[in-house]
Amino acid sequence: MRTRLNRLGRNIWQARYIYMLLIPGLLFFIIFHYVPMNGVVLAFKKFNARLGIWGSPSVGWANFERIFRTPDALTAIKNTFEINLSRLVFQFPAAIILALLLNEMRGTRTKRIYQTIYTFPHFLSWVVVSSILSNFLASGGLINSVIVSLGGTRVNFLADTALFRPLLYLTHNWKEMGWDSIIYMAAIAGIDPTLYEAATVDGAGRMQQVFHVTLPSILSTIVILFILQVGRIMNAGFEQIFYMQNPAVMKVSDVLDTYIYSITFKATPNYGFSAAVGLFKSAINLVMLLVANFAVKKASGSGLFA
Amino acid sequence: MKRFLSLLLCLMLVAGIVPAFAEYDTHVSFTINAGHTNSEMDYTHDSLYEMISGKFNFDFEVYPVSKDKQKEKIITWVNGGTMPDSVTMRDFDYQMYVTWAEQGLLAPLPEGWEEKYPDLYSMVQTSGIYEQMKVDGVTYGIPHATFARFSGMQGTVVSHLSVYYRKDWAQKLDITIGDTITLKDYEAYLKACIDNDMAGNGNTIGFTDDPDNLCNLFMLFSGVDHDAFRKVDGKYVWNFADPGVLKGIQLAREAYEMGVIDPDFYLNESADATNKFTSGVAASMFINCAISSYMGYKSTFEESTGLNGGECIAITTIADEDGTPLGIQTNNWWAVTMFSPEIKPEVQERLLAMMDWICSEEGQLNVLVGIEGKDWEMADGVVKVLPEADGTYKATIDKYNSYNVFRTQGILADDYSFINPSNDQDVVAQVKQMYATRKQGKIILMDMDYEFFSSDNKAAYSLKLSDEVARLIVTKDIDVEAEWQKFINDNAGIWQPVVDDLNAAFAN
Amino acid sequence: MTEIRKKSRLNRATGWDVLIVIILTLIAIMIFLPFYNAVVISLETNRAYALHPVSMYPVEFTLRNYAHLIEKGQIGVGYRNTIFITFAGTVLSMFAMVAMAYAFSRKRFPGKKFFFLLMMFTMFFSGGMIPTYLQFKNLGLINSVWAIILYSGVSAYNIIILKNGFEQTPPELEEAAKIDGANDLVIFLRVELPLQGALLATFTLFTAVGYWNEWFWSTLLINSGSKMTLQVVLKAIVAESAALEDVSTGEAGLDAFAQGIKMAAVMLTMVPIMCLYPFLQKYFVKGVLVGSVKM
Repeated sequence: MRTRLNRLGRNIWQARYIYMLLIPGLLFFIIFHYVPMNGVVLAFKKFNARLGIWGSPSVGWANFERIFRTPDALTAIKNTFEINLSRLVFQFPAAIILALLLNEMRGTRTKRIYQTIYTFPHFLSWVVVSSILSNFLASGGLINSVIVSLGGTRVNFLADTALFRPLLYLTHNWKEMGWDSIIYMAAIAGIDPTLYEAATVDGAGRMQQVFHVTLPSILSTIVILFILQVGRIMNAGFEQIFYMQNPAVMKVSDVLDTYIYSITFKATPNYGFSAAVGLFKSAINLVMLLVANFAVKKASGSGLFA
Repeated sequence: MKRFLSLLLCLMLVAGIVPAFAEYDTHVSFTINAGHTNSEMDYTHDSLYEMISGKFNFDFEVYPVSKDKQKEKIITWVNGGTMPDSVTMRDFDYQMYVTWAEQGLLAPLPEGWEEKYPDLYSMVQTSGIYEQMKVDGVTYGIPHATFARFSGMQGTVVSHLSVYYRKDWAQKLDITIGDTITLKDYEAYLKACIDNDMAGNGNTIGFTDDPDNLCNLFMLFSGVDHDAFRKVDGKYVWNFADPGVLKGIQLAREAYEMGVIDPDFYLNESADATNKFTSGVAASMFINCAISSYMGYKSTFEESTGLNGGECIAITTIADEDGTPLGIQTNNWWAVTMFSPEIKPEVQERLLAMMDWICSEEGQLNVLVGIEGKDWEMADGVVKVLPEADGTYKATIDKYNSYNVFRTQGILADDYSFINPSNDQDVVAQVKQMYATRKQGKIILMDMDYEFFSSDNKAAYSLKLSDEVARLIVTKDIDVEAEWQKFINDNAGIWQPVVDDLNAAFAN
Repeated sequence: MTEIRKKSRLNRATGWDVLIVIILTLIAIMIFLPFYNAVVISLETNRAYALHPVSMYPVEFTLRNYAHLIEKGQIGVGYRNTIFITFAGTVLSMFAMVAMAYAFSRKRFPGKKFFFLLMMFTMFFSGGMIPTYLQFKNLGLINSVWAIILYSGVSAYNIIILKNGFEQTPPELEEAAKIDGANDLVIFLRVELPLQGALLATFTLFTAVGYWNEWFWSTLLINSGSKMTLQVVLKAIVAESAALEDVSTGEAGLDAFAQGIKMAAVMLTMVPIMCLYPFLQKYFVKGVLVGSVKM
């Protein structure tokens, strides 16, 4: 027993510099993430600002019970789940496809120009993008003017609930696929050309080369970016939806982030209720992470957190 | 020498000068958020600020928040315990106020404030809710009256939301619109403007608005209030479940399908809507019609289009099918000032003293018209507004940025607008006429019991009703009545408890 | 290298080529057009825009929108604050993240798994907006730019990827250094860091862009006009009706939030970054490539 402790002590001492390097980051996580986690108990309380989080009276499961009485909250949960997963399907491949396409184009200079243009929208913030989108799709906007001049009648694109989610994914792709494709472009550029030569010798056509040479070679890049995407989706969907929402499409567009925002800041706040709703968001995040881990394991053999 | 000095001191005491020095000789600083402020303006470097801050020996820092975000920001501030010393909040919510007061998130007014600040007290009484603002016998907020000395408003205060329309277009189309207008005539006017492309750009918009005000308009045409709760036959019910609301929604939907409503109305913020009207693209809007609002829209219109506002813009009141003007009762207060629980007592007293002065006749004059000698002078006991160097009259809001802050601290400028000589007299006349018309018609009354009732369930009640109305208007191919009923049923868990609470408290 | 590959193909344009060029060009147009539209609007008068919201050139040209912003706008203040925050934030965050990533990349030390899980847990579980806000209040960080500097930069995701990068260095180098008597710190500073140049540059860029674009907590925490960041100012101009309700004369009503001013604000905040990006593109590409291939 003594020797076990001794060995432990020695190991700790040997690793002392490593602990030093850990400290700034750990401090950050503790101060800004763990301490606020006590907020979770709020979900079981009725918040009284004067008594603080710990002093507030407990109400058991009442806040959760209220979630099931509130249709808007349930809608938000459903939407978050659906939209998050859909984003993985509809948004993630876009940059890869763009990179593959761009790679097939001849002429390095044109390629570079196109590439630069594609990255422009990344630097805009969503408030601007949704404002531009409004300009285009509103009844008095560009697309409708074109329709009218061609003899048609105006279409109310932005009020159509069926259109909202496709527009969401489309505009996200419009904004980010250029930026995201750069990495893939770089990875593709690094592929050993002899692989292509070998494939051509084997009689592989262009399409086949893409699937059998290009894609597998950049698999590891794809895996990293998949992880990054999952993280981004979990945390950054708020801004886009917040600015693109409008009353006509609220039923399909309100997600937990925007819902929590509206109940926390726009009505008589009940922080206990907000916290309870927030817990659902954590649950969905967990699911997303598990999905990501699973996909990564399948693709590269080892999980995210090995 | 000593004798002389003591004599002088006695004289000064008698003249009341020395106490004045003693009152304001400590300099105080405070933070304030009031009215509509934006981060672009500097509020502390104009003559008005210098005069008032000099008089009361203070300096302040403004925490600017734009109009649309003010409610959110204040909620965060108060709940987080980080509010500035003084906050003047429009969109006052009684339920929130009570919750805050009970949790100690607001500073109480000092005892005896009613006697110490008589003009302030008088304004609070004029607002009509002095008693209601007390929580456990202590006042935590100061409501600012809309109409007091000068407006001549008696009895029920009516909301000034009005229909603005293009007089010149109506004339060209041979349409006459009087003091009131029925829905049918209104739709006819809008349709004519659209069909004849009066804006000249191929896409004239009929009626434009943001979802909230559009909802108000059609509910009014239908004769109901859509929000909140009211007593019917002695028992409380939820307003939105009133069949009048369904009728209002259907009327709106018909109008929308007819094409007379801006197809993008549900995307509008209030500013987008007014922009469409003032830039000459839309035929009508339904929005605030306080004297200063009307003046503002008129001058923006003139700047945008180059046309004469007086010849082109006019207002009218909504009437039901019989031609009876419709109005809705509103509060005689527009905002409430609250203080941070961390405020220092001397700062609070200084602020109250300043507000008291601003509520007095002298103060109202100074804040709303400007500085004596520079902007106005007394001539034979009557206030005479002085023109600028070039002979034109400039509104106070354009002369002094700090006006935006100070004007919120007393009686609303609406009141003085009625006699402010520098105002556009044509507008003043129209607005007076508008109020007179409404007073003679049918007025939907507020339920004061409900307004000042608080309970946990009421705190949990928050439904975006005008959003739902907008959705029902805009979405194609739905059974509106079924959807409306579904909305009522689905949300019963939210509104039913409030109804129960109200009936337990008030049913007879 | 790609040239060799291309030469080995037949040198005539195939149907595929044409199709690809068409698709890519269409995409380029769709991406470029809204920008061009925004530039046009920013150079137009409000009246022209209202009558002709859709036009390919400024119907009534004016520089008034830009002038208004530069004179009255808080853009200057916004830039000043954002640059400071980005700079300080990136330095501090990178420092914390890289140190932690390196630490986690080491093979074994007591508590490694525990600390790693500690960090990972925060990736999907958080106390929520309000408790975090209250924590800021307890730390006295309300209305302070330091709140944003300290909070928005460190990301568990980035740490994981950086850790993977560090894990790729050949162990011989570390062993050689150890034989020479170097301790972990020295190895970190002299051996590992220099090897990860490209990866670090990339994530520095990522982090910096993150700070530059941060707006949520800035809006929530900053109260004074003098401390507002660029994004907050931009959003106030574009999204919120920054006009005053009872407006009496033309100037305030006209200038505030006209479409032209909004677009001019967008241009002023975006263009500097867009110009910077091509210069950094080289490092960025190399870095991510290196970091990812090695995974």
